[in-house]
Amino acid sequence: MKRTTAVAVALVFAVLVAGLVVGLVQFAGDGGSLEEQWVSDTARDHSGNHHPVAVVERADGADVIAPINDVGDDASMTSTSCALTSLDGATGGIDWRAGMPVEHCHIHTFSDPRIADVTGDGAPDVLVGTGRNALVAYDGTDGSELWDREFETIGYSRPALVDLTDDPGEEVVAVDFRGNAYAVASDGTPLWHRALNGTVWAGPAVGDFTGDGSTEIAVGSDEGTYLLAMNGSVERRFDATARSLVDADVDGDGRPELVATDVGNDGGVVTAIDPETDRRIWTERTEADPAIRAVGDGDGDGASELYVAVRGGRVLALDAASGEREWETTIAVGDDTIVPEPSLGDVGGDGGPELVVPSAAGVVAVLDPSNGDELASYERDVAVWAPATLGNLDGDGDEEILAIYGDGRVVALNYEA
Amino acid sequence: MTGCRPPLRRVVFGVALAVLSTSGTASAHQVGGTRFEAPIPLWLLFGAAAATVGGTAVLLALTRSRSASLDADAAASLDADSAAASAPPRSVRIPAPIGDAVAAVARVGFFAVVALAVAVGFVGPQTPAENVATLFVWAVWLKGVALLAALVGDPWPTLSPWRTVYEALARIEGAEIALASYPERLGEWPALVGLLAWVGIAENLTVLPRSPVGTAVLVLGYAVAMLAGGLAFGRTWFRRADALAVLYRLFGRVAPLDVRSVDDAYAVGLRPPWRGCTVPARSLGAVAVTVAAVYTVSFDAFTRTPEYRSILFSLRGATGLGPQASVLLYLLGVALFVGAFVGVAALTVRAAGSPGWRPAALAFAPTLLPIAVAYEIGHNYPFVVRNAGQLVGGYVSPAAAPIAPLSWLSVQWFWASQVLLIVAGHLVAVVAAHAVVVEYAPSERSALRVHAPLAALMVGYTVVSLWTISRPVAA
Repeated sequence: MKRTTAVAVALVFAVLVAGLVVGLVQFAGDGGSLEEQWVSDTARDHSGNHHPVAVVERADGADVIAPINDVGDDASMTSTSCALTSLDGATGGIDWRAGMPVEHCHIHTFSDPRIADVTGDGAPDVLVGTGRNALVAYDGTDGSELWDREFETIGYSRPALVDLTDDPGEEVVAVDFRGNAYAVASDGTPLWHRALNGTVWAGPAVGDFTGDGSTEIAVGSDEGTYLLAMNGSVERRFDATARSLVDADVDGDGRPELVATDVGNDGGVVTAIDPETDRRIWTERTEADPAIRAVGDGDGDGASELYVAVRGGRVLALDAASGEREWETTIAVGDDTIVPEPSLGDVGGDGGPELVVPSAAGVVAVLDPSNGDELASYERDVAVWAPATLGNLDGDGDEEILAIYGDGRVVALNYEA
Repeated sequence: MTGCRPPLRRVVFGVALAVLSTSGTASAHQVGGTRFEAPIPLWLLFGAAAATVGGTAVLLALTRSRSASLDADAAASLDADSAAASAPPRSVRIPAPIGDAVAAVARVGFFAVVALAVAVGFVGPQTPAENVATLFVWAVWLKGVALLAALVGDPWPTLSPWRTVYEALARIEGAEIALASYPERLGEWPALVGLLAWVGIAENLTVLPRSPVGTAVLVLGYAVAMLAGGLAFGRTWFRRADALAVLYRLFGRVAPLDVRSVDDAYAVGLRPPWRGCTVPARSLGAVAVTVAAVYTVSFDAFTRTPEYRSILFSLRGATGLGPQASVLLYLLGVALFVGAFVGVAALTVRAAGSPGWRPAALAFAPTLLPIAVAYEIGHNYPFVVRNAGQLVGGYVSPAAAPIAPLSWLSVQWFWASQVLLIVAGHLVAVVAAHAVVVEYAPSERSALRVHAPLAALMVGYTVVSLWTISRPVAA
C-alpha cells in the first residue's frame, strides 16, 4: 500500500472511530432508559382497550386498578371477559377481578377508575362507571361491590370527589356519556341529578372557579361547558365545547381557570376560560383532536405549561398564560396517529418533571418537558389509546409509568435518567 | 335492562368506532383498534388465494413443457454475472457518459445524505420523527432502497457509502486494495449475520430506531466494519459480506427493469419478474439470506397478531426472560424457516430421484424472492412514503404544512393492497419455481410430482401470509 493511501486510510478510520467513540459516549450519557418492570397477564383478543389504569399507593405496597374490557360474540365471552382487575404493583400478578355479566360487557364496560376511601375505613376503594349503566363502588381490598348508582347510559369519564355536604369525607360526582351529572354520598345514597343534554367525554373538574368562596363542578360537553353549584344547579354555561377539560391557574391569580380542548370544523381548538369574568382568555387553534391532561411548570421558568396531544402523532407545549406554542414535536410519524393525553410527573427521581406520552403507534415515550426531546422510549406492537398513569409502585420516591395497551396488557415501566 | 341492550351496544360501539376505527392509519407499524369487516369472508379469501396459487402451479406443470418453461433455459444456464453481460432483447440504450454521470451524482448525493444523517444524529434534536438520522436511515435508506431495488434493480453498488469511500482510497492507491483474498468459506454468512442483527433485531425488536444518536452510532459502527473488511479482502467483501448489498442484490432479481452495461452504453429493458429468480443462488449463505429475508418481514407482520403475543409471553414465562425473549423467538424462527426450506428442497430432489439437497436449495431459494419482495413492498410502502414525506416536509419546507402523502390511505385499502401484492408475489414465485423445478424432473410427466413440495410450501405460505396481515385488522 502506498504511503499516501495509508495516510488516507488512517485519516478515514480516525474520523470514523472518533465519531463512533463520541457517539457511544453521547448515546450512553444522554436521556435515559425505560425498563420494563412487568407486563400483566390480562390480554384480550382485540386491541381497543382505551381507559387508563389507576394506582393505589399503600404503605405496604401499591396496586394497579386496570379497567379491562372486551369485545366479541357473546358465546366466546365469560363473566370475566370484562373485569375491573387489581394488579400487584410489584409483580403485575392479579390480586382480584370484579367481572361483569356478558350482556353488559363491551369496549367501555369499565371506564376511568377513581381511587377513593368511600367506606371511611382507611382502605382505598374504587369508583368506576360501568357497562351496566351505573356508577359502582368496589372494595379496594377484594373487589367486592359496595354500592351502585344507576346512570342513564354508560359512564365514560373518571368520577370526581367533592365535599358537598357537612358529612365527614367527600362525596362523589360522576357524569355519564349523555351528560347526566350525578352526586352520590360516600355510602351510595343519591344526592342529586342534573341532565345537561350533551355528550361528555371528560371527567369533571372541581374548584372555586368563580372566586366566590364556594366550590363548583365544571362539566365539559359537546354542547358547552357548565359550572354546577354544589347542589347541582347550573351556575353558568360557556360556549366552549370540550372533549377534554382541566383546571389550571393560567393567569397566575391564585385561582383555577378552565382549559377545554375540542375538535373543531377544521382542526382542533384549545380554549382557556376565566369563569370568574365569563370570558375566553385565549384560544389556540391546533391540529385535529387536541387532548389535555398535564399542566405544570415543565421547564422551570416559573410559569405553567399546558401539554396537549393532537392527532398525527404530535405533542404541543402551550404557555398557559397566553396559549402560545413554546415547542411542538412529533412522537410518531403517521397522518392519523392518535396520541393520548400526556402525563407530567417526576419519573426520573431527580426532583424535576418529565412528560410521558404514549401513542397509538405502540410507543411510550418520556420527553423532556422543556423542549420535547425524547429521553427514552418503550415499544410494543400494540396501540396505546389511553394516557399513561404515574404512580409510585416500589416506594423509591419516584413514580413509575403504567400504560394499558389496546390488547388489555398493562405494562409497568421504570425510567432511569 | 336486557331490552336496552341493542341500542346500548350501538351507542358504545359507535363510540368505539369513532375513537378507534377511524383513527386507524395504514402503516406497517400502526393499525386501528378494532377490526373491520372484510368484503368477503376471510376463509373464502384464503381459500381462493390458495386455489389460485396452487392451480397456477398445477396448470404450469400440466401445460408447460421443459423446453418452453418461461425462457428459463437461457437464464438458468447463466450465472448472475454472465447473465449481466448480454443486453435484453428489447432495450433502450443510454450512452455511458450520461449513465455514469447519473451514477456519480447518485453516489455522491447518497454519501452526502448519509454523512448529514450521522452528523445530525449527533447534534440534532433527539426526536426520531424530526431528525434526519432516524427518518432517513430506517425508512428511506434501509426500506426505501429495498423497494427501489425491487422496482428498478439493485442500486447498492452505486449508492453504498462504504464502497464509495473504498473506491476513493483505491483511486489513491491506483489499484484494488486487498490484503488477502476473500475466504470462500465465509460465503454470504457475514451478510446473514448483518441482516439478522440490523434488520431482524435492531430494527424490529429494539427501540434503537427511535434514537437519532444510536442510529448514527450504528451506521458508523457498520461503516467501520465494512471498510475494515473491504481493505482486508477487497471488493468481494462489499459484494458478499455487506448485508445490504446481498439483500438489495437479491431483491433486484425481481425487478421488472433490466439495466446492464453493454459495450459503451447502458441497456435498459423490461423482463418478467420471475426471470432473475431462475438463476441459482451462489452459496448456502445466500440461500439463508433469502429465507431470512422472507422470514424477517413475515415475522415483523406476525408480531402484530394476538397469537404472536401469546407465544411470546408463554416463552417469557417459561424462560424467565423479559423483552429479550422476542430475540430468541425471532432467531428460533430463522432456524425453523431455513430448516423447513432445506426439508422442502430435500423432498423435491427425492421426488425427482436426484442426489443431494444442496444444489436444489441453491436453485430453489431465489424462487422465494418474489414472495419476499411482495411482502416487503406490501408491508413497508406506507412506512417509507410517510417517513419520506416527513423528511421532506421537515427539512425542505419546514414552514409549510406537513406533507402527508398517504392521508387518503385507509386501513382497509392498505390491507387490500397487501392482499393483492402477496397473492401476486406468490404467483410469480410459483412461475419461477416451476421453471427451476422442471430441470429436476426426470420427465415432463413427472413435473407435477416434483413441483409438489415447493408448490405446497408456497400455497401454505400464501394462506399464512394473508392470515397474518388480516389478523390484526380484518374480521
